[in-house]
Amino acid sequence: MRNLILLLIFATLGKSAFALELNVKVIDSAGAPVVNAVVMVPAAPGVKPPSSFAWPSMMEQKDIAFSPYILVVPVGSEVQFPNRDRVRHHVYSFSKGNRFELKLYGKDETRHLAFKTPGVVAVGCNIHDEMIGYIRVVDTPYAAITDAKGVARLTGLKAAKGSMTVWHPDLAGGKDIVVPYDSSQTETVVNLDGKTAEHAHH
Amino acid sequence: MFRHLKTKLTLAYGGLLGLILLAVAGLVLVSVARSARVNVGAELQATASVYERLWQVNEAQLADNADLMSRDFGFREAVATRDSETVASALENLRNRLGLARAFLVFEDGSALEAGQSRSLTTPSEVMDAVLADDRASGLLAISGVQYQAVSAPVMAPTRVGWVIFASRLDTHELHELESLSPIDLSASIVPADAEGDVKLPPVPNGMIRASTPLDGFGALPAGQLVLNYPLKAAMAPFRPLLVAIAFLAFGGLCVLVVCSWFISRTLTLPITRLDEATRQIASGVPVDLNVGSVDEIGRLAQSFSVMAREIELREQSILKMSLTDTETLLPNRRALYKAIDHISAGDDSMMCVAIGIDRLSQIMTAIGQSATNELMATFGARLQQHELVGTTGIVASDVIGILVPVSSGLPIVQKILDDVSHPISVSGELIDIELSAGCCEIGKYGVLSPIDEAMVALQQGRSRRERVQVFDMDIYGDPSGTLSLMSDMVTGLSDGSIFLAYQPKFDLRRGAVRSVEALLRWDHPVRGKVAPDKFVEFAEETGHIRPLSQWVISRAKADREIMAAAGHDLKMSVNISGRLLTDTAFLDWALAELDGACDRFCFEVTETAVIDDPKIALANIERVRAVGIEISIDDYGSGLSSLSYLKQIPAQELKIDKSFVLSLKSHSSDALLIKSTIDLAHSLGMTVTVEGVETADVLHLLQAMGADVAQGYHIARPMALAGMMDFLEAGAVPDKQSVLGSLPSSANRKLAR
Repeated sequence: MRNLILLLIFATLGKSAFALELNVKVIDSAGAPVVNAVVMVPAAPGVKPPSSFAWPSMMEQKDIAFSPYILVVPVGSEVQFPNRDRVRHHVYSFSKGNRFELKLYGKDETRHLAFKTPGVVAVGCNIHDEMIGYIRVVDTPYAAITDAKGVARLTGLKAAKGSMTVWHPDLAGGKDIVVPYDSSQTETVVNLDGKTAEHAHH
Repeated sequence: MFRHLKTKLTLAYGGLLGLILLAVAGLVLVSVARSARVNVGAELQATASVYERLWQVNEAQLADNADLMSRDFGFREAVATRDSETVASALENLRNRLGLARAFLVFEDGSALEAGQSRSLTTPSEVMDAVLADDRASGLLAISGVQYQAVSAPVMAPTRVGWVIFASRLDTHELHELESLSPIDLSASIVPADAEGDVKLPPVPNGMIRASTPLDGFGALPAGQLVLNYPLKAAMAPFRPLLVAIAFLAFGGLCVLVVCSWFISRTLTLPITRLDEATRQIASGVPVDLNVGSVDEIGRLAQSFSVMAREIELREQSILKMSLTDTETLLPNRRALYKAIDHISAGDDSMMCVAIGIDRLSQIMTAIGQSATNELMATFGARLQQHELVGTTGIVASDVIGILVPVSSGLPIVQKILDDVSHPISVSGELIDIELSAGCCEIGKYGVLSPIDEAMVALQQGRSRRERVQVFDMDIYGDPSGTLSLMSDMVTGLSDGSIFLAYQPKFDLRRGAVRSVEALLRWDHPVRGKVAPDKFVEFAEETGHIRPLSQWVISRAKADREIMAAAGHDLKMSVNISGRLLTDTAFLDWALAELDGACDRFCFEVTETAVIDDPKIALANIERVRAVGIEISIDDYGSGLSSLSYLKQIPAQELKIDKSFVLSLKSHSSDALLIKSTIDLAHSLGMTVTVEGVETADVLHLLQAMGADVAQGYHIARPMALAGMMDFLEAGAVPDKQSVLGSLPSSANRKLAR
């Protein structure tokens, strides 16, 4: 397991007429881009999460692995678990509020579930210990996963400043990191525990 | 250091070889012991390796079980959902099934559950650190002070939700199992590391050897050591028979060595020991035939010793013979005779020692020479030896041969022997007449001298008596040994008055009065009675006491003379002065000082012989005496070797004619002629004449008629002590000349004195 000790978050606020766009780059303590980090900005009160995001709410079992490794879904959305392997899988999770167990099912069978509790759902296979995947259930429309360059793009933001949440499965204790964001700032350095923050200015 | 060569050799050989043997045995012992130790050490290490393997197997088994449990879906579910009771019971179930000591579930948050207990525990931080660092930690873990072998396995559901920790007890039981596994009888224990991670092993107990194996700690926890102790005695047990055998070989070998060395040494030294004993016997005079029974160097040495011993014996006999033989005449000597006397045993007849002397042999020797005299004596001795009545002979003086004759035979036998052997002896063809005398003494009768000397004295006594055969006369001989004590007695006698002066009046025939006295020494010895003055004066002269004795006489005579003078009798005092003192200048110095002032009242009587030894000094001293006024008188004239020369030289005023001429004086005898002419001679030399020994009136008259000036003798008066002398002087100090001259027998004299 990769142990992330420190995250450096670069937030870039894009300007548009209707909505704000936020590009966040996550790097580790060595300066390498961190893939599969989930960046979230809480929604304003009254703003409902969408029924689904731009990516499919689906987690395949393919080549004895969950794909994608990290899946972000809005709360209440139904997630598909299609089995693309020739072997059967027994998918389960003991994550609080989102426990489920999909007993052995075969190739090209699909099971689906709705996750009603925001949070992290650690998904495993009882047959294949090495199989692990994560579903992040969010109650905000502003959420994205960092790409291979460690960049996540959030769009449609309403507020010019506020706080954002960053999560990655390798973070110690699986805890979220909450960091402020500000349109006047182009870079933010965040300590792991979020207590101190350094700001870099353009 | 060693009294015996044998011991020395035994010790040297046996000791040296024994030392080497012991050294070799010791070396073997040490190397065997070392190899035993190495072997046991290796065995211990092997056992330790077995234990290590056991440990690993156990660990793997624990890990497998922990892993299996951690993968159980239901268990994972219970853990993930924090179903404490289910987790605890599941742990308990497995613990029982697997026979584990302890089983734990540690949650990610640090809380923990133990098998069979629903209560939540707090995981110690070091355990937490250990599992966080390594999901599958394993090693030595102390729980509540008890050492366990523990392993951990993560519980993935699917992410890690905690760890299963299984612990197996490393208790005595386990270790006993290990002990029973080992082929050797060891004791095993686990020593955990302390807080600093150091393992402090207890000291190796005495008689034990040790091997230890490090044990990993659980995670980063301190490690420990497995310690195996093994008693050395048990380790050495298999070698003991070998060691005993070596020790026995060493000791046995040593004994054999010592015994063999002793035998060899004995064989070597036995002839030497015999030789040693033999030489000692030779030294103590026991004749020895040396045969040490070997033909080597020692044997030849023994033969040489034998030859030497025989020659020594012969030489000894010859020396003995020589010591008993007179070298001049080859006759048995005095020692031989002594030896014969010594051999006379108590039971035998009393024997008589007879000294047979050839008279006037010195004159014969003058005539014929020494060697002819020796021949004469040899012939005479041979003659005596051949005589049937003579047993042992021995030449005891140059002219005397001693023989031994039984006392019972009596003097006639001696006479007969003398007759038988007294015929002329032929020496170098010349016949020489010999006259023999014999002195006899019965051996052991007196014991004053040795028998030979007594016989010799008897011979002298006989010759002076003109007796051919004389028996030793003890009375004549006196007691010469007694004179030795006289010296001290004399000193005592002077102080206690037993030595005193007696005075004999000298009667002046011309004036008919006693005008002088002679002081005479007397000694009433408390034991010996009256000691003759001649004897102790001679003794005093010989021992050097004459000077103090004479000093005492002079002082006493002076004092007594003054007493008499005070009573009106101013007499001249005559004192006898020893010839030896005439040459003693220091004495004369003293005497002249002592008599200073009264010299003309004294007369020193000296003998002619006094001046013989050293006439020059003696005459000079006499001159000194005369010079101060002391009269000089020549005493005992005619008894010694009278010399006209000395008579002329000595400036005497008085001549005293010896009483030997006077005692038996008769008119017209030769003595009378001698006295008459001596008186005339003295008168012509200017001396007065005093005659001594006047014992009868007839003699007195005769002497008076001859012209003698002074008379002295018993007829006048005996010598008297001072008191008697005073009485004598008081009674008739100036007796009538006629009455004195007419009838003055000693008895009448006594009357007169009253």
